[in-house]
Amino acid sequence: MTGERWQRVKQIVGDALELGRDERPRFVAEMCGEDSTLQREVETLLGDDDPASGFLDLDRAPGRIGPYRVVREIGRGGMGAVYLAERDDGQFEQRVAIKVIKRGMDTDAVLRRFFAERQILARLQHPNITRLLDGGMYDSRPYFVMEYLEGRPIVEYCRERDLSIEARLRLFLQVTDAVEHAHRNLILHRDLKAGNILVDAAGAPKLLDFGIAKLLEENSEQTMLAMRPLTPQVASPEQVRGEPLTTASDVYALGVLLFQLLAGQPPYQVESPTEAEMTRVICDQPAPRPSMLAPAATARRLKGDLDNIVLKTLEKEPARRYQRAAELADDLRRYLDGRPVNARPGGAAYRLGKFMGRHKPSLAIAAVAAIAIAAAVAQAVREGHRANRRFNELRQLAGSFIFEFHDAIATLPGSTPARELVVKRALQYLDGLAREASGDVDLKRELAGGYLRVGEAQGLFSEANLGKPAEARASFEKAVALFEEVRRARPSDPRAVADLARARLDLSSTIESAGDIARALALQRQVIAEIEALGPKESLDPRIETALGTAYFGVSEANLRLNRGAEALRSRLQSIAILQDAARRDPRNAETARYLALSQKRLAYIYITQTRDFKRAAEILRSAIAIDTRLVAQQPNSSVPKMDLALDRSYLAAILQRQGDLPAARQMLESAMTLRNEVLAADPHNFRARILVISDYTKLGQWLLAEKRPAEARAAFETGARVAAGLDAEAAKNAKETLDALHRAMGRS
Amino acid sequence: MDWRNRAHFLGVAAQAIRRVLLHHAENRGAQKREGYSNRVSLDAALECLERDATVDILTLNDALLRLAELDPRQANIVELRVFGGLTVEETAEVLDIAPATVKRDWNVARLWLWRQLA
Repeated sequence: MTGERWQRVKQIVGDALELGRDERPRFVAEMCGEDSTLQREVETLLGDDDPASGFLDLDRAPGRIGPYRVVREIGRGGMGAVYLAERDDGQFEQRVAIKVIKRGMDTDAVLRRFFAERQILARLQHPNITRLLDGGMYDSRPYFVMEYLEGRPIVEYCRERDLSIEARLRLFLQVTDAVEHAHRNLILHRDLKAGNILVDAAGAPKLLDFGIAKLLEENSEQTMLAMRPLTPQVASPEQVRGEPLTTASDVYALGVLLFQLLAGQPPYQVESPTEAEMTRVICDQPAPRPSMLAPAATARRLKGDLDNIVLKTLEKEPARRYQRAAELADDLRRYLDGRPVNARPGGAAYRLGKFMGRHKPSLAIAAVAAIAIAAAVAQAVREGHRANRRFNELRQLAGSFIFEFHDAIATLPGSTPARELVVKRALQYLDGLAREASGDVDLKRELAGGYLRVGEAQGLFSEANLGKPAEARASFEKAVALFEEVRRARPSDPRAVADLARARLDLSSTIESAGDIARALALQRQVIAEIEALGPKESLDPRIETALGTAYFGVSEANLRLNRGAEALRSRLQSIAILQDAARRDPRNAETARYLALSQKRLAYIYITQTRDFKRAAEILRSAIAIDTRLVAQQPNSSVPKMDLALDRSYLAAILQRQGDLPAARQMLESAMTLRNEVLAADPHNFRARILVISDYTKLGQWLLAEKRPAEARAAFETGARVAAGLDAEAAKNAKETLDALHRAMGRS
Repeated sequence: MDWRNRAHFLGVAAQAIRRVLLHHAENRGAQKREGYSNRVSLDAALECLERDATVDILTLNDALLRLAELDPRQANIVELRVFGGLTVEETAEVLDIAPATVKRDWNVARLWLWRQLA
């Protein structure tokens, strides 16, 4: 057949199809005239009755979908069509709603995700969530089979029955419980809206479409744009901005629903549905109080607690909302019981959010997301979902979220309270995982790394920390025990060796601060013996060599505390030689550089206090200053190199003081104090900076007294006392102990 | 969203899906002959296409190639609808023709393809 002839056939068949069946033969005969070949071709296609019935029929409602017989179409929307269907294979008699997803989403990745996610959704069992019963492929499109529900949308249900505020709240509480249940299973709804919640004949609210929105949204960027709910009644600010959604996003949607149930109308009215207008309203316009929009009779009841509760759910910043549905439910129950509620304008979460917000706008959100995920994982652990793959994925997600977040802010001035929060959650998370870790080496390594970071934040004196040495020690002990197991499982892995060494050093350093120097020393020697047994230094991985150098550094510190000067000097020189070699082989390793500078300044300290060799001390300090200055430049936002550089300067001050140049010594001390005060001002919770500043003022006062300047000396002591007053009671006790230790270590210069 | 871009995207996607499914179907045939059993999720998509519509993807593809010789635009419509999952209206937008034309071409193509595959 030629193209030209085909056009003719197509024309006639096309026209014929638009006629009634009985009119066709006459029409075809007329059109084809004498051309019997043409007529035969046309008739073959048209056939006697619809010969191709069902073949590639993309437009008609299906008769069957899998084992279900379709009764009728009950809805059609952006995602596809919804059918009412019955299972009629003789096994069940059940009415179901089948949502067939629109074509165009049936790519390979989508299908894979679809089958994986279906399993998870199927596990979501809650009396207030319509169950996902089944799913499959129909006509190469995925479909979901849901429990079919006849009910009224929740807002209409309340209005029609004129329910009291209490009754509405009790109904709403069942909805929050359902959402909380899903969050615990790590599923966000993402499309909670009044229309998605029906109240059944028994008066129980039921949530539709749980998790499906997310499932579809993540398919691709394409569908994500298309799927983003664009009704301002539902969308949270982060959703409008296209930012990641968290449990707090569902809390926002719950808040919109609660607003509607209480005030009788949604919080926002958008004049024109343009994206710019919507963004403005949702992201910038403050939410009204429900009492302002409610009828006068209910408005009185809403003022105060209920207004505050609703407004807290509608905060623009996710971090300022209730973080979980359960927190919202808890506050509502307090209200119903007549107890004081937590919601009030500008609470602790608000202050923390502001605090972190000053440094990095996304910090607060990230912290909250990390915490929400961690809490969810901890819950999942408790509920025993450990065995499956999804658990492991989530574990990694939560772990990396917490620890990457922690690492990102650890050296940031002002981050200590945020770290404390993250650390607290991380511990809950880790303790949950630790019970499950048997046999899984990677999980153990991850856990140990977690405990290490947690311990450092809690109270490793050489770092910015929270001043809780006993807790820190417990964390380090857990880390060491786990790294030992990792090391046993992977004896030839350099990382396992270096990790274990680092954990033991951290542990020994807290043990040493607590006064058990002999034990600390034994631990360091154990590290050295194990590493040296691996082979000659030059053959070691630079990370292991750094660990060895820091172990010698630790041995030297312990010997100083034990007044064994010669032994201290010997191990100090060894640590410097090893770290210099490691720094040469791995020049970009900031940790190696830092420990090298640290060893150098502590060598200078030995020269100053033991051998009184000030010239050599000043010489070696210059090398340390060069390294620390470079590290400050490399990490301008980090407090760690600043504190190190301050230490260099205070040692130089000590040299000048011993050489008798009091004014120059005082000036140098003040330049060190400038750096430390800077760090403390940026982060008032930095325990280490605080006690060093206290110690600085004490020393300054003593030097001023020696210069016979009593008035200025008194001012310095008073300032020191004021800084000390910034410590809370427990920290002050720890500070006194640490200060004593510090003074012993620094030789009361 | 810019409709032109969306139309373009849908058109490209339909082509891509067709190619992927075809490639997969060919491989699957080869693997079956060699005794492999490599079940991936695409198999599910193919099976649905083949079971529900009694279409063998390779045969359908051959027929579509023949249709493209007779009427390239009509073959294009079939590709967009079958592989891209586009509605009549969307197909019309992508090809910049009237929906009524798409519908006519589609209805006739369905009958023709059915004969070809029977």
